[in-house]
Amino acid sequence: MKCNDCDKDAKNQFIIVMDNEKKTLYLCDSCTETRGLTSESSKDISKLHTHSHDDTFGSNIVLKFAAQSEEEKNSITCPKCGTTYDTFKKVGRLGCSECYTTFDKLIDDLLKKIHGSNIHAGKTPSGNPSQGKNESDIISLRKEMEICISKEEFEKAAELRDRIKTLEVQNGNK
Amino acid sequence: MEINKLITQQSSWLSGEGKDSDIILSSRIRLARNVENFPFTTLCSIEQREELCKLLSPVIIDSLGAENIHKLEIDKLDRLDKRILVERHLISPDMESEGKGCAAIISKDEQLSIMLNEEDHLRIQCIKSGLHPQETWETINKLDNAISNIVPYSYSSKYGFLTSCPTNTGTALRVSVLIHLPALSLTKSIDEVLTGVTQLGLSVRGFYGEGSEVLGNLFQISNHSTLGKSEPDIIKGLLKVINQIVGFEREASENLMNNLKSVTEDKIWRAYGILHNARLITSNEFMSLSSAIRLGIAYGIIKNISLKSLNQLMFLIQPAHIQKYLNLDLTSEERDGHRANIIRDYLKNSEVK
Repeated sequence: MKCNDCDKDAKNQFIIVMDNEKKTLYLCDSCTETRGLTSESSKDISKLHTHSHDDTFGSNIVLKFAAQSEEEKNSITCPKCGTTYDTFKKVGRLGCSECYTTFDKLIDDLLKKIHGSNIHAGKTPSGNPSQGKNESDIISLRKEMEICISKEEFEKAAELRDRIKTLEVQNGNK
Repeated sequence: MEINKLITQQSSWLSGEGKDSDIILSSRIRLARNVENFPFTTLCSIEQREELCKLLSPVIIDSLGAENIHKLEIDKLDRLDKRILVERHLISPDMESEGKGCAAIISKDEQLSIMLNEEDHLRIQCIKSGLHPQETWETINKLDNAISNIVPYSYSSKYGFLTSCPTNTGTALRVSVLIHLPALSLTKSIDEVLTGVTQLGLSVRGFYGEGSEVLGNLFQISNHSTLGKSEPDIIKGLLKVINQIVGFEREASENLMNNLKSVTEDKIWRAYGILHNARLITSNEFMSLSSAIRLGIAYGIIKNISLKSLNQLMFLIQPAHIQKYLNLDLTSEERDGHRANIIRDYLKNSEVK
């Protein structure tokens, strides 16, 4: 689908209710941000004004934020081992450690459902982890920390901040 | 390795010793680990599996001492030998059926069993007699650290130890106890207790693990979640619940003796009678009867059979053990006859005079 605002490829799908009419809007990532329709803000209804040059969308209620179509989700493939998300859903097994990064967002919900959490709180391996891993970990931990802060879970956020610091120090030492 | 020898020796965790061993048979911890830079087991080629074995075996054998372990290549074993290892809880049914490029390193006292290339590259299991999950954790943690110092694990700071199945990710730790709850079962309170257990985030399974039915009032209670808590906290959490359940069982046990004395004693002595005299016994019947005997031993009513003997018998009467012991191919009914013989002989020889 093409983005409604800029005509680039649109990954994000919104359903907008306007004058009791349902309309589907497709936006690319940058236009989504420009309109202020990121996943966090869409949960807070009062923040939902679309500020676009097209006034017909005025102040509407965005009913649903669908990040990707089901098809696109299923065809996401791990670059290292070739496992698709579709295969994972059918077999219940991942192919390699890289799959955890590839399917990051999709697995997050699954982990929360199974374990009630998506953040490890146990021991670290006694040997030295590889540096490349640290960088992608730092990025995802940072995201989690921001979520905790927005939910006012400050203790958890502080724990994550400390973990990020440790990883950054490790990276600095290599 | 002499599997023949194995079936005549006693597993250290069947000793019937340890805390609350009249109710808790054993404590078990299983850790899952994968090696970085290899795909998970299902996507590994035979060459990769062999490489993993070459990588991991020396570290493990070094840490435990070559004189203390047996190393087994699973695809070189015959069907009966593999069955025996499953019956002794040393390898999983999955490994028994897969086999290709898999190996198992087992400590001679059968306390530690490490499977290579099962669902994950490494599945480390430690079992101890009685309620001792903390000591079990210390043993397994030591080995885990020794391996981790040499071999890089698949690990992410966010998700923890990465496993092939997301249900195991994080600490990748499964801690469980094998617990005997005859009084709660007899007083019909068991369903209530088990529902409570599940609501507290624990899983309950039968004696043979996942998907098995409940036999002999034996239950395996384990943690459900592996992600979000530290290893010590998971173990403490389980211990707290188990201690409560042990308390309930002892209470129910006392009630039985106070209110249903003759019925309970009759049940125990009938079981004693059958085991000493029957000519045909199925495994399932044995499990039922042994539950009554176990209760009898706990009450001090049965004085000439030890928990150790009863536990050992529980292994010996299993189908593959019988076939190996007698070196015969048997039908199910023939086995039932031999089983009864083995039980009568064993009790005669092991009874405390």
